[in-house]
Amino acid sequence: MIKRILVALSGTPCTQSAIAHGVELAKVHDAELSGVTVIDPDRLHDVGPIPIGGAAAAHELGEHRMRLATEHIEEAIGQFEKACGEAGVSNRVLKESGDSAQRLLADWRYHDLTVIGLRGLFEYGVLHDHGHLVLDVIGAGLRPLLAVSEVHRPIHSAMIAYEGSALSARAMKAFCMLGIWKPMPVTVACFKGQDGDPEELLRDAASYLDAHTFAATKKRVEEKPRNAILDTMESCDADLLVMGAAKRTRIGRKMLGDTARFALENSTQPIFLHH
Amino acid sequence: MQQNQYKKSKAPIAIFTLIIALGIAGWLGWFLAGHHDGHAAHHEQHMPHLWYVGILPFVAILGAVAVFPLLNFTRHWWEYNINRFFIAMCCSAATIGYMIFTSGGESIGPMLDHSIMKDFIPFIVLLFSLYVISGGIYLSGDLAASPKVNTTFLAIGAGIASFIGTTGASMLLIRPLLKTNSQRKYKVHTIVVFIFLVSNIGGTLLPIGDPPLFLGYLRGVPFMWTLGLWPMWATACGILLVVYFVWDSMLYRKESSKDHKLDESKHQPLRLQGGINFLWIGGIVATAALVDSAKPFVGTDWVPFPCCRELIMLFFVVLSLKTTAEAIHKANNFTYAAILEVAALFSGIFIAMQVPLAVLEASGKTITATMNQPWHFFWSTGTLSSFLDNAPTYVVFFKLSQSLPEGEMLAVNNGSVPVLLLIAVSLGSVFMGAMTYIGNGPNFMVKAIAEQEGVEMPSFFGFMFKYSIPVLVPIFLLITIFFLL
Repeated sequence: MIKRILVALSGTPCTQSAIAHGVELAKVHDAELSGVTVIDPDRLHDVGPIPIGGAAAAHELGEHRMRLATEHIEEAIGQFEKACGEAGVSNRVLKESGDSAQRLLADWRYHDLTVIGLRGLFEYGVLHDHGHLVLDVIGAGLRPLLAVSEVHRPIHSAMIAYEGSALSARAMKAFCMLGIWKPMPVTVACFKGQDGDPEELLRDAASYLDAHTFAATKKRVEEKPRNAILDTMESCDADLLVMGAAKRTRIGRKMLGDTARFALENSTQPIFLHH
Repeated sequence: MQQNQYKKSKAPIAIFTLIIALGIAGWLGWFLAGHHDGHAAHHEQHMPHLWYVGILPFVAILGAVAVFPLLNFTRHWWEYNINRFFIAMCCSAATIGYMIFTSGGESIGPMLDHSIMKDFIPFIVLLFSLYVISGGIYLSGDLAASPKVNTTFLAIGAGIASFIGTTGASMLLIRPLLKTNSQRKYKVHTIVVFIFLVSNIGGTLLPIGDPPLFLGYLRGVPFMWTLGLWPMWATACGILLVVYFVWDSMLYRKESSKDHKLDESKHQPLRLQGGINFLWIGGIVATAALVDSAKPFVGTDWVPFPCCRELIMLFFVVLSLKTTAEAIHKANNFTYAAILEVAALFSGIFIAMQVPLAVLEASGKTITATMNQPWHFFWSTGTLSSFLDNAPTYVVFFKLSQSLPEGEMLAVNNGSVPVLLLIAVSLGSVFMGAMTYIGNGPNFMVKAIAEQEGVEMPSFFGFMFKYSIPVLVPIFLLITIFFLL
């Protein structure tokens, strides 16, 4: 049961789409929507090594970033409140300050689903960490998670990347059991390099999906997942990619699965992650 | 309330710092007033006793400059000039304590005379003068950002950097260059090459171009000597400009025709304000070149009194402030914070570096047994200048080169220096300041201004690995082959 959804208001090109997805889901589930902004003074003032004579410029740059971030936060909050108001969705804004990942993880504890942008968190037009923070919070265990791209497209079909591992099984099960989306056509795809017999894996997964009233189609792909996952998704015309991703060990957090990392960095469609 | 609490917490630091500074100034004043035994400075020919302890203050102050801005728990503290001055004075006090312990109290007066009167004051007054006067010149405008226009901008910057200093030239030209390129999608390479050329290599031709060269001048290198570096300057600038032109032409073609049209439609002619300050800069150049209390004024028997040069420079500063509209300083975002930071830190660096210099003097022959070729000096000075401030680096290698009296020699204060090694040290310290954002002050200032204008500048390592190493290292190898082997 989804009763609380957390949307990261990050001030990136994906924020508008994250709000739209959050509002849609909140309406379907009659859930409360929380928009979270995080201003991280340490991150904003971290301008790297500074030469003698450069400190004033560094301070000015840090202050400029803070000002710009504050403006973008207000803009994102305005967008969020307007979207919620128009849709009649109950909402609240969480204005956080501190370490971006820590603050998001702290708020995530009391929400059933988190919606973030795919390629940047709390950047507000001034930081450009190219999605590293997204990978960090996923690696730190934030789940279930819907990561969306710049383009908002309603979700009417999905593709599950299934390899038979516990991680990918967990993602598939969460997709079915949480009931976030109504039953929809689902393609379950198995790529080259899986353990076990792919046909058997596909058959078992499709049977499980059928039991949850998802109309499943099986697809076997003779390429490695990293190379083919996004193309396969496009060929299936799926609106959502479901996959397992990160490991929960300390090293695993840094070594997010290669395929998941590639998909997060390059996908133009939303990704549902549960691990 | 919070500010009051911070002011209160700063008070003990300020008092402690003031006590040390006044103590140093008092000791120096006592020495200059002649209250000493008349002996010349003790000339260290042997390795200073416990030298590895004596160099620690120098290591500490350079370490603080490198590390404190990076750590979350020191970054904010380090933002205040009083705290930087506190560290500088602590390192100075530690150096003085070490020298009293190892060489006796009589060594302190000459050491302070050398580090404060002969190094720090002329150095900081020159930087201050150029900083204030060039801050009174404002160039605005928005031209069509074609490769020709951008290359011309860079060439002019490389040309004037020697005359108004790399900081002055960078601050003068970066804003109109950014404005000119504001409609361009590909502009990071332009800012990076600007840092290479205008903020560093361009300043090779005169001692006022880049601080290390001025320290050489203060050590007796003739004012016009650096003009002799024009073949290396022209080679590096020429190659860089050609490389840039080809690079920018390729990227210009990648821009959409919509961007080109937008760029061409948003013209604003160049407009120079505060041009009178070029006259005051000319005064600074002439003063630096002609007024030296160590020799008679050109064509006369009159020997300028101590600090005469600095007083004249400050007079030009006053003239600049009187003749510059406040709006120009405002347009340049001019404040004294940067120059105060330099003053606060160098007050300690010049004192703390006396022990490392004595160590080099004593062990120079051992070091130069293996490191004795001009290219050794070029790459060593350059590598250190890439990551540390290039002014103390220059002084260290200048001193080291004096241990190797071979080939053509140039007479300087207290001895002579091999010409080829001096060329190598000068080029290394100026050219390779361009290798990182921290190699030279204006590099970082340019980066900060560009980011505030919305340019996504490369990270510290991105700058090195994507730009400076692939572009500059081959040029420096050519400089080595053509001029230093």
